[in-house]
Amino acid sequence: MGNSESLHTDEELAHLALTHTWSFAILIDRYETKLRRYLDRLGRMPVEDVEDLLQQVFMKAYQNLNEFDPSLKFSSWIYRIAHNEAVSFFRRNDVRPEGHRVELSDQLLETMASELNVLKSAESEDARRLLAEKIGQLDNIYREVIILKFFEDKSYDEISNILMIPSGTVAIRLKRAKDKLETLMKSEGYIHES
Amino acid sequence: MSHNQDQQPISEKVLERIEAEKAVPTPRFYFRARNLAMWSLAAAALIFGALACSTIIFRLHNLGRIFPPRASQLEDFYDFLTAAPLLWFATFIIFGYLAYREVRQTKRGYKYELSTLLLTMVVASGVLGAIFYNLGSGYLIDRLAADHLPFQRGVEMLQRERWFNPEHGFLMGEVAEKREKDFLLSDPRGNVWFVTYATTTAAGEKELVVVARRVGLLGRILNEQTRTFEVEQIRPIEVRGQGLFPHRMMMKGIF
Repeated sequence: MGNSESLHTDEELAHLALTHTWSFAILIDRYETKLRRYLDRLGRMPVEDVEDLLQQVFMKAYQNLNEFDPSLKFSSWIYRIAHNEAVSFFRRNDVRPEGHRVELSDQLLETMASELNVLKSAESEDARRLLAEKIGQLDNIYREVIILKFFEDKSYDEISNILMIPSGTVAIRLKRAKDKLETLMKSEGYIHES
Repeated sequence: MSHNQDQQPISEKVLERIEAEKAVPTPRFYFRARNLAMWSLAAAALIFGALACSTIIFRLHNLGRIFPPRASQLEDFYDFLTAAPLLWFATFIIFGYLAYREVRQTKRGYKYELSTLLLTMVVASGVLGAIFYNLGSGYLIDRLAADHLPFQRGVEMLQRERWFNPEHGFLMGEVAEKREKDFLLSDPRGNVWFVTYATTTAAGEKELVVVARRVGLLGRILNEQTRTFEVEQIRPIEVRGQGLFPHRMMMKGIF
């Protein structure tokens, strides 16, 4: 079995995985942590369910390797599978992902505060708690673009490929999500930077 | 699950599962065939939408030829509602939606913006619909729908209902013979009328009287026994857009 330090790109490994399962194992090693964190951010799930879901994502990816379009990034494709599996899970278990609080690091808080154009007039910890809470209050279609853009650091094109929506729709949803967050933050006393 | 198993890397677990379930990647041709099927369904839906569009064009293009002039705008509006291609608008929208849905499900279909897709489909349906209309599909579908669908009346049926009412001064038919001061007209029942011009008949309208042409006449019966009709106004009511389907072949049920 290989390891995630392989010199091959993800796309090359995906091609190799059609005939050599070890290369698929490398892909799993590369994406396990990222996808686990992504699934965890999408909604509240017991650890065992995340584990099962993760396995399911990789099984689906393996069985559908021939569907992978090499003109896309492999990461977008596997994130798409993870997203779809998570949505199915929430639907199956009648769970509403809204209300789920995501964890914000200091760096992320700074990026988002700058993007949202809000002044950090309170302690960082307070702002972090509040922003995380407000993200949790967003509708799912806005939460998922915020998560992909700021937490997973995906480009508009990647988000479009993951959520299977046009890039223009990604831009609109992101703009609306930011507007909503800005309004929510302002209502809590985080004033606009002039 | 044992502690040892909990510590097992997920890659190992997945590979074990692949082996245990004898899982293999689905063949590439399956995805290609599925994608092709989606595009084919989208194309089929687009063609059906274009056929509906050709019938819409047919109805709208013939709207002015279905009804004789009426006394009030309200009556004109009622006539418009009677002849408006509502069924075909609904059909067009349904097939347009099906085409949109299929395109969205193709491999890269999600990339297209809604506005781009809608505009492309409307333009493609319009262009194809215009081609189909010129070939006569609108006429054919209108006739077939009138023959087989309940509550659906075709352009020619409506035309006959309103224009063929000699007692109220409306007469329609095909010119059987043209003479210097009068002409013979064959009505939808096959009866021949002797038609004379009133002094008020415009010279330009008289030129519409051509053998084998369908015309609508406004005037009055002079003698019912001899089927003599005095015409004041003449209207061209040839159905447009018959394309490849000459009306004599299609008109058996009406003429």
